[in-house]
Amino acid sequence: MSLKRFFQRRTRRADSALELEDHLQRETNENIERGMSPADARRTAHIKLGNVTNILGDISQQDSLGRLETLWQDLRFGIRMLLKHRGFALVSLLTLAIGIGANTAIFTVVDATLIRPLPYPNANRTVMIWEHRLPDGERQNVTSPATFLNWQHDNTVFDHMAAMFNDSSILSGEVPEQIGTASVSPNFFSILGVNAAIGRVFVPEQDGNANSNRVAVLSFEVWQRRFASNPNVLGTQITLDDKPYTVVGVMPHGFQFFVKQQSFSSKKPEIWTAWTFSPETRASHGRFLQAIGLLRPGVTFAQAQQSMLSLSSRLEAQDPASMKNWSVNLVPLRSQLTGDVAQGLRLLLAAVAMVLLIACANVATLNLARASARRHEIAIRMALGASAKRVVRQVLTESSLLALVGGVAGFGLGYFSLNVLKSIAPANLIPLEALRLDVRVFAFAFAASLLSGLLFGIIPAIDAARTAPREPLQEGATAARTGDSRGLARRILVASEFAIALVLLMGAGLLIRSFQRLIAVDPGFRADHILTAWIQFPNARYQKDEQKNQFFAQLLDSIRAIPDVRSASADGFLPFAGIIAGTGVQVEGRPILPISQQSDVNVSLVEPDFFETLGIPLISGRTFKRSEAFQATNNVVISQSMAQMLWPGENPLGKRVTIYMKRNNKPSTVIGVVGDVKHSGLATAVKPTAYWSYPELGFQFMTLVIRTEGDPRSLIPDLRQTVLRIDKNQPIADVVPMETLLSNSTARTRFATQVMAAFASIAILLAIIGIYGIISYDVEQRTREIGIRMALGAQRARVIHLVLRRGLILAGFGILFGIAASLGLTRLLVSILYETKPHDPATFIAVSAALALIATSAGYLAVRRISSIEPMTVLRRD
Amino acid sequence: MPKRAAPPLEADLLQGTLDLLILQTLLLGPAHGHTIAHVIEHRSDEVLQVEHGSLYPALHRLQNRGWISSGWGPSENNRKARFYRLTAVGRKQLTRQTSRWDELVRAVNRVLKPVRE
Repeated sequence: MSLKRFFQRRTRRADSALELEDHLQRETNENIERGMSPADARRTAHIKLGNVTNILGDISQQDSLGRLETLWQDLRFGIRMLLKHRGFALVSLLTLAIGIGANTAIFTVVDATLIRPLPYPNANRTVMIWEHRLPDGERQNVTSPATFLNWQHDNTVFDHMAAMFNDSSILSGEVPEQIGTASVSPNFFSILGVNAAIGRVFVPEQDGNANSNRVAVLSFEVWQRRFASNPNVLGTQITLDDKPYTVVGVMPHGFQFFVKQQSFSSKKPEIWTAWTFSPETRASHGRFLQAIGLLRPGVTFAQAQQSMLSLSSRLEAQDPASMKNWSVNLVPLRSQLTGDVAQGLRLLLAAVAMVLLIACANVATLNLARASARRHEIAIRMALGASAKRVVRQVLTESSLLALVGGVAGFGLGYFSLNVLKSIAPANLIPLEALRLDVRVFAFAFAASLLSGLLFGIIPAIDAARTAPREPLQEGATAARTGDSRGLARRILVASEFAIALVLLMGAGLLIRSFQRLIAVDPGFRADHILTAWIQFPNARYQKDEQKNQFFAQLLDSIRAIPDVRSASADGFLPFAGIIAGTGVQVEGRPILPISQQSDVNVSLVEPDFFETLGIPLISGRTFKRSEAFQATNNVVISQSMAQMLWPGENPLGKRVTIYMKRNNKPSTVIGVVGDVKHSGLATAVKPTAYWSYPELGFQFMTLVIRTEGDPRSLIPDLRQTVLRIDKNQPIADVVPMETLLSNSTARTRFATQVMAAFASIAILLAIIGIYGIISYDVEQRTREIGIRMALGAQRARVIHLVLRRGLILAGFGILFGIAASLGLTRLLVSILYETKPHDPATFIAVSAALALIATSAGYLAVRRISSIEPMTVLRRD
Repeated sequence: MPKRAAPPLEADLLQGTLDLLILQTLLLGPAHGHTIAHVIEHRSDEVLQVEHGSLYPALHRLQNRGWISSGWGPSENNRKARFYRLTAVGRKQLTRQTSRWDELVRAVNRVLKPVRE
């Protein structure tokens, strides 16, 4: 068989027809010569030759591509059938497109986050190394220079180990900018296996030593934005926090590396500086470093973890004072970067797969209903000699065709919903820029379509093949038949649809309930009409405490003078904006406890008016006076929970407590008690907190907190101007309303809830189509029976009730199965639910009732048609 | 249950023989389908009745295999007719098929003879 012959088959067929005609002519002539009449001669010739069409068919069969040609015929027939039954095709396509589209969109996210390799060549061998704080189980705690150096020196499982510290610094220039920076060990880039696009990355022997030059590597984006893509940027000086650095390299476009966990700065680093520890820091036990290591080839992750654990216990034995209660924990880089979204994504993937299952069940139901209507056609085909195999193939071809067209539509819909997803997804949750429809996604959509085609096609196909040719051909035989096995398959499908829809709805219901409870939580302050802004001094310029105190006093006074401002203050560690410092405390007059047994509190620094500005209620005593903004007074304002922890049942005012955070720790006097504040999220527990006035520690950074009359955003230009008037080299960063910070903190939960709710809505919609479809099909099939019943005196209402009941029993079974499945499946949600049990009875009842109501309404719409059935018309039809 | 088509075994058995007869006929010279059918019938003393219906698919098949070629040309009574001729490949095939046929006949005869005795 050759393609040439295949494409010439029309001409060849014509040739053969000509040849056969020639043959007939000759035979006829010979017969006439033998003495037959011309008519007889022609007839005898025909008889001898046989059926010309069959011969031609036999010949052209040799030129055909066999299966391919059959497929083509099936396809053409399939397209004709779909065009003929447009309603069916449209509903099926829509259903499939929704199912496949939603799956494509979610798969694209999964692909970008969990499947595609990380953009670091050594990613598979790279692990993060954390300290494990045993008392409260924090498994990813930053480490100290002393511990890091011990690890680096004594470990046997890593080729290299680097320390990182994410900070933010002022990049000087015409417009000073607060920019994310990272101080990294010089081997940081070689551990990841990445190289610079221009120039070089750091070299361990050369960079970061005490006596070498300060060097920096720029991100591609900073190079574009701040250096106008200048190709001669190498060797130029930049100023970070008033210190000069020499640019030695620019990273490739898109390179970034940011581990958010316990990062001091929440800004993604855009400039990296080479860094080794000074002699003083080498011995420090202050924990602030992130550590990363490159596994030795051949060392497994488990071996590394084991080896580091035993190293950690040796270190504890050497230095119990600093290392008691601390262990070590390794995390593969991929889990570190995607771990927190991976679980949520898997959940969404499971949910969206359920949507596709419902879609398939729906199309299968429609197909089955139509197959029953098509029994006549199939019976004729089988009576004319089509084999069962051929009929099955025909039906499967049709469903695959439907699935593929649905897949194309779904791919388009997926593209659209991906854009929707991008617009509602919170920042930093998924790598938005990495989301694209690539070959993998296309392959996924294609496979999903084919699979669903097979899934919803197989039952109708088997059903079609079982058709006995004679039966449907007998007039009127179809009309009276009810409750056959075909119906059973359809019923099971509709019931499963309801079961799956219920599971999804239950998931969405639980998430919504949990989200409602979450946003109803009182953060402990009033977030409305508050503008916040981060301000950080370069170390070099503001060294003296008076300078800093003066700067803030002057700045806050200027801000308070802006007409729209009601009050202004500043906080060292603003709630919902990142980390907070913590330390041990010792109440005066009680036995001195070792560090590991002291009570832990959070510590922040505030300017006067802070509690009033943010709306944190004063419970007793007083807050800081304006005069306390200029000098340390050893006064402390404590939170209610701190008062309860240290002085239960006593009046804490005037009591003294040592808070270990200074070089020389002296007891502080409690002057006031304020309400508790949730610091790191609505779902987190409040932590006892101590507030000192700013001069006590004189941080290099503070967050301005300003309460405005109107929209806080409208204050932004005035605020920037005010800061620059006081110091023209001082930028402010992260200027956001408090409400934004608050809603950002719930963004992930909101996002998951929205997506889940969307899936549940789709599932319900499909289930409605399913139940409506099956009941109205029932009505249609039983019109005759219903007509007879009514002619014999049955009440219309009773007939309606009867048909409706059949449908609702299905929905009921589905709901029951769904509840059973939900009892098992909603447990998967337990880690993302807030104060909501996965078996929350209220949600279970509400969801089941809602679904039952929906089923009843859909069913009622479907049986309404019965009321228009006229018994006499129905009976006359036969 | 649907009816199954009768297995086409018979046709398969005859097919090889018909091919051989066509090739042998064309050894004498180019001929058109009608002639081939009649030559076969005539030479076998009318014992072998060629099923005209299966002749043309067979010719088509042999041509597809490259054993015979065809062309349109004027025939005796000046009508256009399709002529078939043996190709070099077909000639070789004829020799091979003939000897295989002889072998087959001898083998069948060896089996059949003892029964007669």
